[in-house]
Amino acid sequence: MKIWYAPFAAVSLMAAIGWSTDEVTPKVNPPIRRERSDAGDSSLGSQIQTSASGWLWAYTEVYLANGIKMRRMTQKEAAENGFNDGRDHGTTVIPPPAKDFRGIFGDVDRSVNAWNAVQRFKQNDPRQCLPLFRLMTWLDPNFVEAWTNGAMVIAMDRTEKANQMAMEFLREGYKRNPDCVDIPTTFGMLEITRHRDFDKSIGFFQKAVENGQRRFDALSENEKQAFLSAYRWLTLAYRNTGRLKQMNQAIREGLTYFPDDQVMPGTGRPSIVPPASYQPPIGVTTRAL
Amino acid sequence: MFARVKTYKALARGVVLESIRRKDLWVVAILGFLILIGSGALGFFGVDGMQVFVKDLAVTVLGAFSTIVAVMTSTRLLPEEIKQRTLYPLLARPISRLDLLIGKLAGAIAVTWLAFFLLASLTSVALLSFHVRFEAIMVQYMVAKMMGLALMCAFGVMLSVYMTPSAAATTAFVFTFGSSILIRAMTSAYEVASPGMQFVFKFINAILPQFTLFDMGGRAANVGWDPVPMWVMAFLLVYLVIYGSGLVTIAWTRFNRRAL
Repeated sequence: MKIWYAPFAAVSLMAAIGWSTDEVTPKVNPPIRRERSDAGDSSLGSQIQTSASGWLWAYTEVYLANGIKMRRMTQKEAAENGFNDGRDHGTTVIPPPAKDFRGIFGDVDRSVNAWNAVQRFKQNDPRQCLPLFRLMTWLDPNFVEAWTNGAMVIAMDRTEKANQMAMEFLREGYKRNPDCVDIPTTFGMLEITRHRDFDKSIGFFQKAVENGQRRFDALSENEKQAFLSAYRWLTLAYRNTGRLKQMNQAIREGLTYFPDDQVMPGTGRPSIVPPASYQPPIGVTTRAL
Repeated sequence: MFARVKTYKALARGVVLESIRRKDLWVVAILGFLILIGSGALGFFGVDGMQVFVKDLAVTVLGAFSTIVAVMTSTRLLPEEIKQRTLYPLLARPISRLDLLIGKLAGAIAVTWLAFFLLASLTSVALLSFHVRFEAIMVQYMVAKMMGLALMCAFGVMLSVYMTPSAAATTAFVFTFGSSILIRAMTSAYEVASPGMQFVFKFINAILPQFTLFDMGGRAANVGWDPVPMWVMAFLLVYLVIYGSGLVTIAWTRFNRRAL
């Protein structure tokens, strides 16, 4: 046997394995959607993916705060600042002078880093975070919140080009997550808020509702919110296209999942259903109508 | 005094030539090439108006690569001289062990700065291709980073006197990349710690090398931040001189007693 046969055979075998990974990967490492934006799943590879994308998700806050790094307040800090509402509150990672034991090291740290007690509330343009959303979705294509938030940031321009880019981004995400609730809901929201196309949006909300019903017991908290949102928007879309029978049906159905919701029944109240000929007065926003 | 400077210069020149002979700077050039390739891939995102991301990536890559060069260069200098027995002809000359230590450290700093300039130049080309606007804080970032790299070299040389090159490099990486995490954890936990633990935190903070103070990346990458006051730059220089001298003294104490 000639000497190059062995390396050739080895390279061919490696190539064959490489080619077949697309078919093998879904079996040995099936996509698992995370429960929360900062949670991973059980396989090691996916943990690395979700940790990296989770870190990028958290890092968007640094970009929004113009480089100032924030952390959650401890319970003691929250109590001292009068935040006793049980919710998470943020504070700067580098403490203010009064709370820093490091003396001059602390002063220098505050000077060389992005830190400002007043400016910490200033927000940067969210579009600065777009590459982070792109990276998140590359690293973890099942990170649905990255797809939907990224699309909304792209569509912030409210230009047709931006809308199309956002839709394209969402389509890519939907291909990877065909059973999710959030992405079809975001599609529908974009159709209403950017194109005012209620008819087209109905199809997306119906798809979101269908996905939500099928996986209701497995939905994460975020997805449940998206499911509720899909019902609310669907109700609104039916109302504004005059399909009151379907609207009532959607409200009844939605209330079986979310019996405490006030918005859905409120949307269907006859007093606020505008007649087909209704024209809002000049200056009144029509975004939701 | 002049003769001493001449000695340091000769020793440092030897380190730089050795680094060129070992093709270390080729590695830096390859890393720089990766920066340019990476920046080309960034164009795929369409980074117009996304200067924060581009600058953030640039300072992160620059900081990480230059730290790697600083640690790898400084931690292997003395052990290699001892292993290859090239230390004996050096010490046969009329130079003290302290002179040798300082000369080698100067060489490590020179190699690191050279690599840093090379990487910074390539990064600047990448930034310019994205029409990133340069601000005054960038100059301060460079100066502070160079001071920080010099401190890292002193730390690496000190560790290499006490440990094997691999252990010294690992320990140096733990401190250079991990000290900021430790300091952030201590500042967050200080208020809820017991008085005894608070004393421990103060002690650790005092002796820990404050590499994080030399990194203005967070400020340079974001928009609208003013340059830092000059007293801060002066403080960093004084800290470098005092802490660096301390590290050299610790290294010399051991190296001077070492049987060769």
